[in-house]
Amino acid sequence: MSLVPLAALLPQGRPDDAVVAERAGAPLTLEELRHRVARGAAVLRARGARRVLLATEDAADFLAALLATLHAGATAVMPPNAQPGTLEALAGEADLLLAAPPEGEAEAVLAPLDAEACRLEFFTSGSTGERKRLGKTLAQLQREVTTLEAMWGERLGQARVLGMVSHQHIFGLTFRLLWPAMAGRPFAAHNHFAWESLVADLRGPGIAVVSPAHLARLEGLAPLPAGRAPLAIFTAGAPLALEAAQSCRAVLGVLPTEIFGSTETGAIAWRWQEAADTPWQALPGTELTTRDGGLLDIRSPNLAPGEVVHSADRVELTAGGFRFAGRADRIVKVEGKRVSLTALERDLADLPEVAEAALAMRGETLGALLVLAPEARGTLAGEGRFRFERRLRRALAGTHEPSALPRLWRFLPALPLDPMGKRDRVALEALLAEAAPREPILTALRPGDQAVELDIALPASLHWFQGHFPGFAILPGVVQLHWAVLYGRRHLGLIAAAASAQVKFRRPIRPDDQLTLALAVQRGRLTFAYRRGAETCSSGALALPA
Amino acid sequence: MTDLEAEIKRLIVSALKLEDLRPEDIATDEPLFGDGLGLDSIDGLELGIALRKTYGLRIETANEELRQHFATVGTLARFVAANREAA
Repeated sequence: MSLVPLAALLPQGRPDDAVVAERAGAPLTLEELRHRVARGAAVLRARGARRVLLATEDAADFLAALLATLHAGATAVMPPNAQPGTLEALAGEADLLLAAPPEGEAEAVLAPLDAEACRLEFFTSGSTGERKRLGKTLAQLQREVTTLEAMWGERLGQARVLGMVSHQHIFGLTFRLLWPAMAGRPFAAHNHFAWESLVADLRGPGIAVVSPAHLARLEGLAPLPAGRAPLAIFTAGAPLALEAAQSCRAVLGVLPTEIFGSTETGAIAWRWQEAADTPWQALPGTELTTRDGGLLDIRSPNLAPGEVVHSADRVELTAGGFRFAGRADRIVKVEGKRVSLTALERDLADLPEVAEAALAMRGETLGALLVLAPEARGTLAGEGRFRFERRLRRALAGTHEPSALPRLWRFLPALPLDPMGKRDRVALEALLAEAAPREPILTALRPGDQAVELDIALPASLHWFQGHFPGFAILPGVVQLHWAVLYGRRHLGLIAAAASAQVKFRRPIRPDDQLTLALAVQRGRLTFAYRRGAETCSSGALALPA
Repeated sequence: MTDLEAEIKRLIVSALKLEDLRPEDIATDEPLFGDGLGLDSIDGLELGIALRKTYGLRIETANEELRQHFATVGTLARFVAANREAA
């Protein structure tokens, strides 16, 4: 079947009874879609809407609302997700928010659209964490679909398109809605909740559009009988582990087609991961070059004529494509979602419960390291950590997608700083790696002559506080000596351990204490003092072996 | 609380690696997703794996029905009891 441009789909595209989408088992025909769009466009025109924010649960509603917007001559504004907070923040960007195409009596006449004049706006996280607006024409999106159809159309025939990714994202929008609509393949209007339901829906030839997070979680599914394998599985968002690609083939009978792209560029490359490190192949028409020793520059028919996107993707160019080597900014991929650590840190720090926030990764899991506002510490103690953490997640769920929110949490008395006074990324990762760290958090280091002062903060989760003593945790004296020697070695160049000690413990050191540890080498002895403000908690001297 | 419900609570905590939650903190009739316990779609997928591995669940179910089975520990326990692999 040949492609019909979206611009011409309703006025002159296909037979009236062509199935565009399926909702709850019932087909939505082109004729029905045309009437919905015509009514919607009439309402939008009558209201003089210029900019329409589109956020729907149902993908067929989305297509209808999008087409109504474009046929009414308005700009479609696409929020990055449909979380209430995001919509609220974007409310000023549009005259109208549509959760479904508007209904009225009158029907607008639907003339073919000028695809170059139809404008859609997307939002994405820029490298500074600010929301970045991206305008595209319908013509650009149509060119992208044309490339996809030329690549895979023939083998996909009339297969039904099922999905587990949101159509609010460009990948879902293009692969679940626009491409099927232009190619005449029916798409499922709802998103599947789990593999069990998607697999149950694989009747006849099917195509699945899923995220890497889904493909990484196929374990335990019974392999599909050969005849039920989907014709293709498309995935995008993050590089997929080789293991996940291979288990997809074992269970679902087909190697996933991985798509590389971004909101800015749309799809630019693809691969079938036969082996680890299979390079990405550029899609036809895409020109890839590098700048600054390996950052990818992209020219593509998906972009405006002459446009070049300077990405922060680090790559190594190969024949016809590239190998991906990571991002050059603070954008990370969490479960396939692009997360700006800068923006999320700022939003966390803006919560009333939070005084300071830092983010770090443990493997592929995002973790938050927080210093709580004083009044929130009681809330944490009262609610328990898990419910408190989920409360913070819910507070952010207004503006961030749940899967892109932290899954690990650390509540700390202070954030670790390096000797320059900047966030110590290595220490943050170490704190995330261990639920019960063995060393305190270092927040300042002041070297002197044969002496050093360290500001340290003691998280309640410190290994040495556990079970010592129940109900009244204190830092054991032996640990205080151990740290004095440890930091003496690190910062005063001591090599040998202390031979003997004279120590005076005056006041207990407690969880969440912030202390200064003063160390000095004097007359063959290492002296130390732990101070909390003006009071000395403990002090002593360790004789160093001659 | 039945043994199966208690077992599913332990499974939720271990399978989802919820560092900071004890099984006994989950109420049997508390919604697992959204405003209740606050699990999300990724948690749902992980829980699916754990149920398939632990109980040999081999089910294909329509989307809405599956959501209802995953509503609470209680509904999940009834679903598992009815569908688990014969021992």
